[in-house]
Amino acid sequence: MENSAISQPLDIVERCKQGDRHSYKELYDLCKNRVYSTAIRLLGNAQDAEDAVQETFIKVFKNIHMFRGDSSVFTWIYRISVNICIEHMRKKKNVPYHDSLDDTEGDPVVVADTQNPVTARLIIEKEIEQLPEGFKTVFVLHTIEGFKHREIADILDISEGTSKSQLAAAKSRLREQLLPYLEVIQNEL
Amino acid sequence: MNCEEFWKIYEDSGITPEGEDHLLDCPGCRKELRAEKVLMNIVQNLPEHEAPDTLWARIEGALPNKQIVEERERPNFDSIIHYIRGMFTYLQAVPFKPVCAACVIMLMSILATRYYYTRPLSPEDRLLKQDEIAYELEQKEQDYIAAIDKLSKLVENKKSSIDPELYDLYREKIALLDDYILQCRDALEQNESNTNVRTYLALAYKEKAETLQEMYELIN
Ligand SMILES: [Zn+2]
Repeated sequence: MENSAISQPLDIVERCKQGDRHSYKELYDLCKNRVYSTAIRLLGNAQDAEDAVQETFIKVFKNIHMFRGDSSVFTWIYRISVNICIEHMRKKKNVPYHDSLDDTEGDPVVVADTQNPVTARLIIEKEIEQLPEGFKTVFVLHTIEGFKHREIADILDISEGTSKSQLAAAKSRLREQLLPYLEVIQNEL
Repeated sequence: MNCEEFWKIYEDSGITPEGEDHLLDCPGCRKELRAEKVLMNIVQNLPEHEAPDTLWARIEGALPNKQIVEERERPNFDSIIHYIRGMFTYLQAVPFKPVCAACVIMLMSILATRYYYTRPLSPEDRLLKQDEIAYELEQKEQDYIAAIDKLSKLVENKKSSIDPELYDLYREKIALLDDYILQCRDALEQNESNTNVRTYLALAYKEKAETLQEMYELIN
């Protein structure tokens, strides 16, 4: 998951710039799962994530000639995708939100469900999803997707200090949410 | 060290000796640290979601089809001018040679031909379109000729204030355009309704007017 460890496929990018459709697919295949995973974590459902990924790659291919190689092509693509996800998150805020996990909010049934081995993960995923936008974005990018604070600062156009303090706040909140379930979850792990 | 300080240092450097001391005295932070470990354990083992196989087809389907776009969209007048201006800008940087001039003329012909022939039209439509284009181009020609007259006089009066080397380059470019304009006029005498030639002619006039405008701006 170390972003900086991936070598930059400049030749693919160059071929994309010339409009080569096979290279479009190559570039897509190289980062589709990571872009999709991030979108799922930020948006919380497959439908919205697919829309965001589609929008991301259309924007990537439309603007590939503007990629100058100042950063890794992956960072450039993730910056586009994260910004698209943020836009979707903001739009979603204005509509009543429902999904399957939402039904269990504040309900002790969640604790009973911890007999199921995937429940600890579900609790965390639900709590991550409910984090405020800034906290969630930094938490997902740093802790799950493995970006460094320097890279997050670049993607989100914030300072490294802001990235660090938002991560600390997100983790503090998640830990707090986990405390009531701690005994049950620990038995599970 | 209080709890807030413990977590601040923990995020930057993990558990320091002072942090250990705080943990010994603080059951709250000890419990929260267990939560931290559980959290990291789960989060770092979350599976990566696989993008569905159908997604690429969706993306590819939504990408503009380059070939179709090229066939359907007639390049507009301004974009052709832009190409030619780019060519001239390039040529300004190198000494003019007859072969360069030939290249420009060839380029203009290719672009102008493309401009007109990219969309198939019915014979009736074509005649109507030709009339429309011819009329439009003639209007443009008249405008450019008027502008060229005016600008030529303005530039001629103050040509000594332009850097001589630059002035020579501009003169050569204008000479090339004049030569080209003459060729177009000859061709038009053979066939007055040749819209392609009218298009080249209007392009050349426009380029000449803009070149003079540039010279005028240099003076002022
Ligand atoms: Zn404490």
